[in-house]
Amino acid sequence: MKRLLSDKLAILALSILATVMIMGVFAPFFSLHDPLEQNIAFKFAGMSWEYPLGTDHLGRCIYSRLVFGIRNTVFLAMLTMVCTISIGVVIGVISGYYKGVIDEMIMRFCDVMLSFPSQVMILAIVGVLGVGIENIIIANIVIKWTWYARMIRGMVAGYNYKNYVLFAKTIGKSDRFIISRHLLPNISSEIVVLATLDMGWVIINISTLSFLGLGIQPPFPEWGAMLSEAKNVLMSNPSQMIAPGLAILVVVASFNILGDALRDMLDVRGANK
Amino acid sequence: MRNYILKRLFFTLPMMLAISFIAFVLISFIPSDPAEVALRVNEIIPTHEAVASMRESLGLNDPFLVRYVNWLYDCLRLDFGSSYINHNRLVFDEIARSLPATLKLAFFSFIIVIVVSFPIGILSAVFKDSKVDKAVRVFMFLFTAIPNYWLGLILMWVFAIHFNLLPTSGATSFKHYILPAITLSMTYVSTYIRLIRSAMLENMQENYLFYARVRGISEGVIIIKHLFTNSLQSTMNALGMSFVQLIAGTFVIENIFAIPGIGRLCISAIFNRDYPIIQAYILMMGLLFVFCNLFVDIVQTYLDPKQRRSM
Repeated sequence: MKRLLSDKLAILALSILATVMIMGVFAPFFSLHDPLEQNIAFKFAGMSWEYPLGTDHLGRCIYSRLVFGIRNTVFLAMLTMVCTISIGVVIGVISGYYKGVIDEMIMRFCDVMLSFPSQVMILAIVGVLGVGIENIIIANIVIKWTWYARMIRGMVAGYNYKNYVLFAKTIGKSDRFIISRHLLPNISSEIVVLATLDMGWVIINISTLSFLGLGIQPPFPEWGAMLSEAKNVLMSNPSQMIAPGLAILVVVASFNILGDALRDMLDVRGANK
Repeated sequence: MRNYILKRLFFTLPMMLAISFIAFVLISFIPSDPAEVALRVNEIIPTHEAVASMRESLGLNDPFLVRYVNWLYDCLRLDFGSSYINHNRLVFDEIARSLPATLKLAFFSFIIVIVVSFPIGILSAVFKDSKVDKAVRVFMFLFTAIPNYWLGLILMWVFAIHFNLLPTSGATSFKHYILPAITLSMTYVSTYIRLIRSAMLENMQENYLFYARVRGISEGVIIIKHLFTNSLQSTMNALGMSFVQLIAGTFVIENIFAIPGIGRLCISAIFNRDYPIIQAYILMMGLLFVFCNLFVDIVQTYLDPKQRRSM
C-alpha cells in the first residue's frame, strides 16, 4: 500500500476513480437537473452556471447526464467484471485444485471459446438474445470468463504444491478450508490486478455497443449512447461530443494507470521474497 | 512441407465442424418460432394450422441432428437461405455484396498498422528512454484508453467537416476509406508498437547480438537484419490474428462512416431480427478465423529455419 501511495500518477488515478464512484453513487445529489428533463427552449446552450457543460439537442443538462451516466457506464462495467470473476474463480479453482478429467474438459472447452474472435461472439450472442443492456452484459461475461478461468487455474496450480497446502492436506483439513484459507487469499491480489487492467476494456466495450444502439436505450444517459446522439448533430454542434468522450478517456486511462501501478507493486513484492 | 500443410488442413476439419455447430445451436436458441417468423414475413396470418404446415415444410419437426446435417449440406452448397426481412434476397448475395467493402477497409488498416507501428516500434526500442521513446509511450497510453468510435468522430469532424478534405460517409472511392482505415488501425498501432518494442528489447540481451558487434557488423545492419527479423517471429502470429480481428472489428467503424460492409449488415440484421444473416455472419467469421490461423501457422513454420528443418 505504501508503494502505491508513493506513485503520484497512481494516486491521481485512484482519486479520480474514487470521485467518479462517489458521484455515481450519489448521482441525484451531485446533479443539477433531472437527466431526462427536456427544455427545448435551451437546446445547445453553452456553458453557464445553470448548465455547467451546456445542454444537448433536447435541452437536457449534459453535466447531469454525465453524472447519471456513471451508473450505466462504469457501474455496469464493474458488475460485469464481478460476475465474470466470480464464475472464473469458481471454475478456475475447481479446475486447478481438483485437476483430473474435469480439469481437462474445462480447459478444452475454454480453448475452443478463446479461439473464437471476441467481437464476433458478442455480436452472435446479442444477435440471438436481442438488443438490450442485459444481453450485452451477458455477452461480455460469456466471452470473458474462460480467460479468467484459465488464468486462475494457473495461479491455483502454482500454489497446489506449496508446503503449507500439502501440510493442510496431510493433517486432514477439508478442501473448503484449504481453498478459502490458503488459496483464495493468495490469488486474490493477482485477480485484483487483472480485473483493474481489464476494466477499461469492459467500459469501452459496453459503451461501444451502446453507441451502436445495441445497449442502453434512449432516453437513458450512458456515455456511449450520449456520443451516439452527439454524432447525429456532428455537423451543426460538434462540441457535443467532447464531454462524454473525455469522460470515457479519463476513466479508462485511470483504470489502466491504477492497474499498472498495482502490477508493479505486486512484482516488487514477489522479487523481494 | 506439403505433408505438414496437409496435416494441418486435416486438423482444421473438427474445428470447422465445431464452429458450424455453434452457429447452428446459437440460432436454434432464438426466442421466437422460426415457422411463425417465416409466416409473418410472407404476410400470412400465423394460425395454428399454418404454423404446423410451415413447420413441416421447413423441416422443423425433424430430429435435431437431422436438421443440423441438412443445414450443413445447404451451407456447403453456399445456400444460406433467404433474408427474413426481404425474402427475395438471398443471404449469400447480401454477404457477397458487402464483403468487398469490409475486406478493403481491413486491408488498408492492416497496411497502416504495419507501416506505422514497425518503424516507430524499432525507433523507440533502439532509442530507449530518449525523448522519442517517451513521446511514443504517451501516445501508446492515450490510444489504449481512447474509444475508437470517439476517435472516429473527432477525425470525421476535423478532416471531413472542418477542413472539408475528405468525405464523411459512403464507400465509393479510395478517399472514402482513408478516415475509417486510420480510425480502425489506431488501436492496433499502439498494440504493435508495444509488441515490437518489447520483443526488440528482449532480443537486445541475447548473445548473438554481442557476437555480431564483436564481428564488427554495422549497427544499422544489426538492428534490421538481426534484431528486427528475430523480433518479427514473435509478432507474426499476433499479426495474422489481427487481420481477422480487423475484419471482425470493422462493425463499429462501418456504422460511423456508413460503409456498406458485413459489420453494418450484421448490426442491422440484429436490429431486424434477421436470423439467417446473423447465422451466416457467425459461420463466415468463424471459418475465416480458422483459415487465418492456419495460414499464419504455415507461414511461420516456413519462415522459421529451426522448425522447417525439424519437419
